Amino acid sequence: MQSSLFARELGDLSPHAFSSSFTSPLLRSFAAAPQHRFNGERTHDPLLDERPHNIRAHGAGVASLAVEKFDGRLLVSGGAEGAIKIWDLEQCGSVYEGTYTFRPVSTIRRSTDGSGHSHGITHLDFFPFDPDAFLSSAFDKSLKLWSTARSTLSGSFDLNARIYSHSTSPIADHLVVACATQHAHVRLVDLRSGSAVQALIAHGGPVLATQWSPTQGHIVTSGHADGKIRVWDIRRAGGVLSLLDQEDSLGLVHRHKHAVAAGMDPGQVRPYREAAQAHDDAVNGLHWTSDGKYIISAGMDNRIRVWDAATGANTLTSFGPLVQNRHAKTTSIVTTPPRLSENKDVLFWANDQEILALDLHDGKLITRLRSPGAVNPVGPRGSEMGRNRISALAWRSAGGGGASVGPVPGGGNSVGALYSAHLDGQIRAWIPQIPGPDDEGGEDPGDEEDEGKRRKRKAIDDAYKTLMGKNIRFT
Amino acid sequence: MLQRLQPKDAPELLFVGTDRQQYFTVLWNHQTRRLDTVKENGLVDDSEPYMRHSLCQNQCLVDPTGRFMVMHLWEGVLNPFRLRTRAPEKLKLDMQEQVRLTELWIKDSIFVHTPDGHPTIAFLYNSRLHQEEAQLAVYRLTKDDAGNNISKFDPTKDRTFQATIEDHYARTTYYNKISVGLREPKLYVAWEQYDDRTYILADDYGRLDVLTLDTMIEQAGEVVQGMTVTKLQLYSDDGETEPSRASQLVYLGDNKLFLASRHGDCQVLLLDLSLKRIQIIDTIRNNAPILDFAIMDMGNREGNNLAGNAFSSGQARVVAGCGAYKDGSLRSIRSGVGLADTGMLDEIEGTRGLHTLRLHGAAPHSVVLVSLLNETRVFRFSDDGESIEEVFEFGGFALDAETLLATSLPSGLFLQATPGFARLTDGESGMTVAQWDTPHGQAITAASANDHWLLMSVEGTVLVSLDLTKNLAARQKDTSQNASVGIPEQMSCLHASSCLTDIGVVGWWTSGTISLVRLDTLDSIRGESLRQTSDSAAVPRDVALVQLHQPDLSGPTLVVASEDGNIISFAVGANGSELSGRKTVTLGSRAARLHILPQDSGVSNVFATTDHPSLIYSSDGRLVYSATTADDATFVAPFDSAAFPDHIILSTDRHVRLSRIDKQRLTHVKPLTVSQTVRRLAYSPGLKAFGLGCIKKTLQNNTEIASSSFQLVDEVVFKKLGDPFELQVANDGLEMVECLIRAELPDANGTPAERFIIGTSVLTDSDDVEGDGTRGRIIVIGVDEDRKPYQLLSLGLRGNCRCLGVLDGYLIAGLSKTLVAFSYQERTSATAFLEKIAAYRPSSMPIDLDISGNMIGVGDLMQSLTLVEFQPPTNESKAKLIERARDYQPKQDQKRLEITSEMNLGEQINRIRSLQVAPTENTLVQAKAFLGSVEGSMWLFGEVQPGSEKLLMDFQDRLVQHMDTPGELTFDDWRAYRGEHRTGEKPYRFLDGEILERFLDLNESQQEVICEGLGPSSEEMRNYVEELRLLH
Repeated sequence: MQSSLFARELGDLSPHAFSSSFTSPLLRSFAAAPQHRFNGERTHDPLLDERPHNIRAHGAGVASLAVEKFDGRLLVSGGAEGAIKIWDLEQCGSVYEGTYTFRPVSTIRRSTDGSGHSHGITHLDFFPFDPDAFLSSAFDKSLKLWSTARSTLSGSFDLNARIYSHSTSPIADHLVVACATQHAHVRLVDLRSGSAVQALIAHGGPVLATQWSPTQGHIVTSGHADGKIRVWDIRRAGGVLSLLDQEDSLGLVHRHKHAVAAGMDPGQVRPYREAAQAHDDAVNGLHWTSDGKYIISAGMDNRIRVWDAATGANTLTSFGPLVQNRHAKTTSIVTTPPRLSENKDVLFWANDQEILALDLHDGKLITRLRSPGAVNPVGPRGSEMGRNRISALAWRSAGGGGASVGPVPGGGNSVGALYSAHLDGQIRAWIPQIPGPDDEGGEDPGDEEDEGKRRKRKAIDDAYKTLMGKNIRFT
Repeated sequence: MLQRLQPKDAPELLFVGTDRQQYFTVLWNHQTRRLDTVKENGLVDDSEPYMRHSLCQNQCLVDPTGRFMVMHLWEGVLNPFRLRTRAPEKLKLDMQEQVRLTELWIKDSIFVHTPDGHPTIAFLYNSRLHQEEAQLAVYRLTKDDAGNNISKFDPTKDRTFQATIEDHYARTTYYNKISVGLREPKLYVAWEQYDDRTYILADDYGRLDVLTLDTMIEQAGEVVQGMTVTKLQLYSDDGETEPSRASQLVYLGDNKLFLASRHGDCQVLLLDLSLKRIQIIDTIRNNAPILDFAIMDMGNREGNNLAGNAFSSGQARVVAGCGAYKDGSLRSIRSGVGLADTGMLDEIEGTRGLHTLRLHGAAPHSVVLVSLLNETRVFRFSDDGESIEEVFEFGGFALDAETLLATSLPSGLFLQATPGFARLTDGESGMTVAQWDTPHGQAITAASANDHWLLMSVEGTVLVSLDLTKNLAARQKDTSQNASVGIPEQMSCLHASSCLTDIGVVGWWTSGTISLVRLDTLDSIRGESLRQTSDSAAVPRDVALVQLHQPDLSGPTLVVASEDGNIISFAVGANGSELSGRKTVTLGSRAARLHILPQDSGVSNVFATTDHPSLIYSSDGRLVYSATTADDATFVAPFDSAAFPDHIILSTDRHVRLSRIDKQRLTHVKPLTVSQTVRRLAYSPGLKAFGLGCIKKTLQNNTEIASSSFQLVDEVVFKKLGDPFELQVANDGLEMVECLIRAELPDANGTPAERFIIGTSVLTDSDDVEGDGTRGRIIVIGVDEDRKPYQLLSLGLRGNCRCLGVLDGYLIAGLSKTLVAFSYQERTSATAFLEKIAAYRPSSMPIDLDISGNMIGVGDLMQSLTLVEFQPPTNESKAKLIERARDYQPKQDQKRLEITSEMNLGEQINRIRSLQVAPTENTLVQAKAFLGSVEGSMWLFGEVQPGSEKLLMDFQDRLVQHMDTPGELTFDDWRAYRGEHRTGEKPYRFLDGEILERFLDLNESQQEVICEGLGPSSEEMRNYVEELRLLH
């Protein structure tokens, strides 16, 4: 760090190289930040309230999360019970000092009269052009548009099908939302006209994921239950543009040349193989890197694949046997923006109860992020298992107008953060560790922590006394 | 980036690319002598903010024919361009299809020579990131021979050659690989082609080699057989100046090589390849990078003035640590005036005085007397100034002795004073009119005259005044016994005033006083001691009583040069009995000589020759001490003739020359090579010394050794004081100075003492975070009576210490991840203790801090600025550091800092130092701070006085509409804030002084158009801008 700082002072290092020399290791140093808690419930016992184990963002489980990419300030969370909560991530001051329990700045309650979702939330995402609006979908088969500042409903679209997730193009001049629903078609909702009747016609079972290209405004990809990834141009009526083929490691251009070389008429060569499968099982995760160079897909065959977006070639990156993907719901995939690192982009994958940080290009495991104390050692193993599963991930970044993700990691008070939604009702925070040793007693032990320690010690003492004290008699 | 393009049968084009992805081409117009922008058919900005930058930085290459160009900006992408071939559009550049490269990590690329003449490009690349071994690939740029289709850069089809290279910097040729071992390991950083077979290479330490290809003629043509690398020896006169570390080499032809450096001065070298010799023939000063600087107020020596002096007064100088490693230097930056040399009189060594004479009363100067130890030489200028001849007989003067004084009187008589006599002669006949000889062979030691009196000191003990109007009627006074003190006393200097003709000034050795005396009676009117404190040993060495200010504004000024290099000025009352307004300015380490230069309109300037030769004059009622370029000047005399109007005669140790002073203010930079990086510097006015934190890199037995030290140097000529204090901790690893401040801290007795505080970091090879080793230190340094530094305290840290500040006796340190407040206590005269009392953790890493009152501004590496308040400990509570406000990019509630103005400088600022300048009335802009940048610029930041903002902002808005820029880039685009969070549209409430000053370059009608409807007239605006110009 110090040598690159000196090189920058001398002008030997360019500003970009300097900043990526700092952010590059930072991306690989994410760790749990249990000091950040999200409390969305009000219990009657204030003492109970303060125990981290009891703090819940959504009592019934958190189903989706989104952080706006403009200032990296607002987090919205959707619960399995149907409520949506908005959090201000800048409520706490310094990220590394002390503990902080966030309270929602506003809550949109579950409702059956149409002013809220009546069923559990499936997916949340901010409007791509400003943080003042966000979109939500739920098991009540509706897609709703909200005003962030007022927490009020701006629009609602009933799709008559269970919506797994939805996506918008970060750059296009249209306002079309692509919805992944239980129907085989990719449903398109045009926010400008309010029409929800268009669809991209496919026959591959439910659509489990959609994602737009971050560089071409009309290109959208969809992941289907039949294991196919379809590439569409929404201006074209004539079906898919292409299919991603796991067998194809050459890409479009070469395949074309091979075919021509083999004697085929260049005009007759189809751009894709009709039987092309992207995964051996349903595709439930899709993601484009923010430079538009790669598409990442996740399938229920427990594989994550990286595709060259320019040619459609499978880059054959293998992420090993650790990857698990068992639930037929849209999964969230996060990759770090390319500018932040010297070609060592990191892929974050919600692997059941843990988050895997993987190298996007060589597939190597960087870290497994596990929530401390997540598994209750007392209770029967497994009973908590399902409850603690991660349902969504959200990457905090700023400055992201006109792109899928902000180029600045973190927001006003952090240098990067990842939030995970858990089915046990918690939102957990993961933050990068600033490199370098801690200064002598760097964190000044505040009174608050002293008290926490005292309480813990008392609890242990009490337990010890109960065990060793008079209460136990051997007769 | 800049590149040269060669359209077919047309003049060369210059392609320009900016760091904001604006691209355009310009053409030199011989008629207007300006650069014309070629109208493009849309070179669109193809920038994608999410792309990764290419490893080799932005690169732009042009093929040998000058018609194809490629830009390499982003990783894995190549943008080819091609000049159109047909008139009338042959100046236009067409963007070709973007090419995706399989070679992602390209270190370097170049167009190479091919036998068939097709544009062919070679890449030096890594197949994996951070891999040592490099690969070479050569591609044809175009697919077809006509050059119409850009090839796809397909490794299997278009690649014509590939090789693995063991050594990064060896070159390979087209078909065969030939390598040659170097005798000693070198890291080449730049190269340039000299001719077909010869290349010049420059290494990291500024050494230059020549590489020659050995070729043989074979059937197929000329074939390269091998290479030889030979050292180029430096041939220099002074043996001091070495070539800088090159960033780029450009061969200018005619054996001249331009060496561009980002670490030191740029140079032009003369190559002599037959003798393998180089010679530096020209140097272009380069201040980059400015790592740190301090503002030294030379005009506030007595601490009697809280506010400092403005930079433009020449009394404040900026001392900057510039350059890197072996090209590192200290540079003294001062406001000054230009001195243009117009002619050389002769090479004369050992000049002891210069005198200029007018032949008749008010005629122009035409005679120059150069006084030497045992003779006086006389030079006569012809009336037209065309010829100068030395004469050996002049005006009845004695030329076989040193001339103490020679002058022409209004009566037409000449006056000459030598050590033995004073003589009045008739200029035309050379007859002696009157003569006064010293009694008993005693010597005159000093003489000064006005039109009426000649004042002399004989052996320093007898004061003599001669009446020039009464045939040298003499009055004498023995002054060897100072009546009031009763100790032996001698005169150190004297002066007969030309503005108060009856008054003379005498300076005294022993008592360090000056006396104003009546020249007719030699009675003292008033005395004044230069010594204000009991331990002061100030002795006057030269005096001048002159009218510096306009006579109608202010009375005459008494200027005294003292032995220790100070210039002390007083305002003198009309009858000479009043001395007031004492002011001291340091201009050097030794006594200055004062030379009076009479000007028109009855005022005079004073030229002070010393370490920092300066011109003292009055500007807007205040004294300005402008630096001049005459670094080696010893004597100066006025010279005003038809051929050389308003000139001065100036002598140095080696010659006498004619120069002219240009009052236009300039910034003077005076470098002093230190051959190491001056990373940090701090100035202590109390100690009159600078503390330097240096980093040095040396080569010993081909091993690079880096070290860091603290060095105390004298304030004027930067003489080293004591030995360097080497920074080295016990464990291995390099300890590097990170920050250095000067502070006044209480010593063991509780009295404030000057201290230097250093924060360091330790660089280790491994990024082993776990170890308990020291990774940084805080060191407190005291300075003893012999001005030698000694260590008071060394506190080992687990992280590094990046910034320091002192708040009310507490030490505030920015450590690895926290901001910590320490209490400081000195227990004995040699030991001190730091105790941590409070801590605060910013977002990532504290990188710099500044303190105002109890508020600490903390600059964070990634998250802008936070304001933290320090609450000192009280009986009830511990000390605290509390976050008060933060700069969030959006602005909403109270804890947020609001941006009041913003502008893009386009440079990386390394250091900001605030200025405390006494506010003056009626100024439009108040100077507030200096900013020093990596690119080598020094910026002066000022605040516009309330009330004038709107006028000046409107003025700037109108002005920029009338600016012609190359490429027609707009001012708003260029100066708009640009960050990763957001990009502004235009500068917000910020004025660009450079742009405003360009108003004066416009013609009057344009000025009137701009000022139409603005309010003030164009003349008033001109005055405003002239005033702004006086800021620097």
